[in-house]
Amino acid sequence: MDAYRFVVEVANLLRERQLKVGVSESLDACQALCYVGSYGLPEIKTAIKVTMLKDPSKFYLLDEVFQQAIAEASSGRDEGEEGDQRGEGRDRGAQSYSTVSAAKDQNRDQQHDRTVDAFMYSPMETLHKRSLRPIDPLRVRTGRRVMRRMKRRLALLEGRRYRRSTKGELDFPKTMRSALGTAAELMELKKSSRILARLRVVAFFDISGSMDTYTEWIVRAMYLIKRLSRRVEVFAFSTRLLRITDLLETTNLDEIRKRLSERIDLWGSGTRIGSCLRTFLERYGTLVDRSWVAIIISDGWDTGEPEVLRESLEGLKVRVGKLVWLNPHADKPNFKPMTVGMLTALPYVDVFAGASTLEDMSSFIRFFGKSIKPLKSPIKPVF
Amino acid sequence: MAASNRPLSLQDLTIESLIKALEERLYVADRELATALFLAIQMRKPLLIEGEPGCGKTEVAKVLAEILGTTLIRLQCYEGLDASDAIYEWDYPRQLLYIKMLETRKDVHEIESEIFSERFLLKRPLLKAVMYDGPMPPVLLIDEIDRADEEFEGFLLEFLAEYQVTIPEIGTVRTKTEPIVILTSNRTREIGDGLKRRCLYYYVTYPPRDKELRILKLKVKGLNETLAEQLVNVVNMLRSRPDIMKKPGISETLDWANAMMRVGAKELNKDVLRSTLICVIKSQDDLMRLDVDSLLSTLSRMG
Repeated sequence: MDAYRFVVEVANLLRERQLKVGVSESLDACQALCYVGSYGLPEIKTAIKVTMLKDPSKFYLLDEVFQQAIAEASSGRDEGEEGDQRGEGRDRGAQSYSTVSAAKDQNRDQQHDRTVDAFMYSPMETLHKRSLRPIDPLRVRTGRRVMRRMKRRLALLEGRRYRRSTKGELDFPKTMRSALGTAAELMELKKSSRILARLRVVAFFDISGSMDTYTEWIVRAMYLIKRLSRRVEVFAFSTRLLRITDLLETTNLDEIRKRLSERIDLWGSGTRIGSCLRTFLERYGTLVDRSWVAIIISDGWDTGEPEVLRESLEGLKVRVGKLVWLNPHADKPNFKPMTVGMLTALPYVDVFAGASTLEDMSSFIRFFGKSIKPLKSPIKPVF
Repeated sequence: MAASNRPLSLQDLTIESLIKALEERLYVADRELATALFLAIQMRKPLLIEGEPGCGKTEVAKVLAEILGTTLIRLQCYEGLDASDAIYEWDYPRQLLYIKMLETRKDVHEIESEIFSERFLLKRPLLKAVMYDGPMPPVLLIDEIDRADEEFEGFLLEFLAEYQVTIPEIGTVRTKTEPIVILTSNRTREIGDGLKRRCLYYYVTYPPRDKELRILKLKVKGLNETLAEQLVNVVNMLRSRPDIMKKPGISETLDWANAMMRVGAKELNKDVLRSTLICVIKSQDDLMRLDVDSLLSTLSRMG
């Protein structure tokens, strides 16, 4: 088997599965194979893994891709016509294709050892992707103003700027400046403390069937929350959890809509909030600490066990500094949280608010007015 | 197992010899980790090891330096780490003293070239690694890179590509022997794609039960086998609980086993568990959440 062709196959297969595998990774893999080529298959697999797979949540793809690449690289088929067909198959993007042996064909002599691309059942096809409407830039602009207020309201980390404070630390420059008016005689010690200004956010968006009517708002909110601060992690969930932070790392609204539409396959399915939060704690728990604010955007309709939800929220609550729950129904007059999920969650939530708080200033003030008390001892960053 | 003193030469290096050498130095590595280390040494590419705290990420760099008989140069990262802490800094107090001593001399240029020479340079880890002049390449450990700012990560991209440092007053210093670089991260934040692209990547997680038992037997001499099994079972139980904030790593299990040896415990009972649980649980909230009785009853059900 040609090692170079094999590496290229693996790289292509990984790219098809939305992994960022560049030419430099392929070159590293080729070089690594030179060193472990004389060893067995496990070492070759490890060489591919350490050079090409740099996201532990995607390690499960290795076996599948490895087998497929071996099959493709050793098939030795004609590159010409069939190569073009395969290229077309890949251009189809979301549609999966499978290589099916044409051995059953009557013209076995002519078709000997040849394979054709044909469509067949794939579990990938049953997942829910959705064509999303364009994001309204005007509403995004309004939302940004609210987001600036929200950042100040939720910030748990001290920033660089100071304000006068009786309990703060001694401010030498200010003290000296005030002494100038009294012939350099120190009459008063000035104190100041840092303003809480830095924010780290982890957001969980419920994109299950019960949130279908809010899809447009959810997409806007994903965009806005990602831009709330430099340190933001965004997850989407329904029956499973999906990290989508990298999908939102562009300022182009249309590109974001396209990415969310093509790459998220959880739209409109059931909801298991508890098990999704548990997955987060197990897999990404070390990403957050008490300086982080967790925002859950969900209507609270949960098909999972309330006990699992309770345990997961308890785990999340101790791990982050603040827990905010935004429920789109909470904007409605006379709304009362009645769902089991919501009733289970409320004791752990610091702020419970309506979804419109992200875009409507008056709603933001109504819900966030005095609902968040700053931490008694703010978290001091090291500059 | 006694560690052999003979360092492994790069010519003799194979995956098998690496596994053997690691085990001789009491580091139980699986074949995958040994392959990753082997490739990092052969390809001279930095190896980024990510994973849970206390799973032996830092230790592997220390042991590797020992195996190769070379120097370990360690850069501990933290928020706010900048180039002066990582590369070099001028020794200002000494420079001032020296200027004071030379006050009577007139030649300013001569003084300047003297005070901005290597004599007055405080070499920080990255410059030390670049200027290292030994028969074997040094092992450069950049520990907990996730704690450093993104700006520093950006600087590392350039450093790891060129292995050179430019000091305006002296010039560009290039490495003679490219160091073997190991970066570790506890995943408190995601490392940028650029840096990941320049590194080989290995993810360590908590070891399976059998491997952890092997580590205990190897590292804690004279530990009762039943007790070792009980400790590993409890640690695994704690790791599986989502409400435990700081999950115990292998280092905590080892601390716990050592504590058991010191208190002379033969088995895990209620009193011993209650008094030594602080070795594995490092948060008051987690301690409050744990019910020792239910832990013990689950343990007895596991046999």
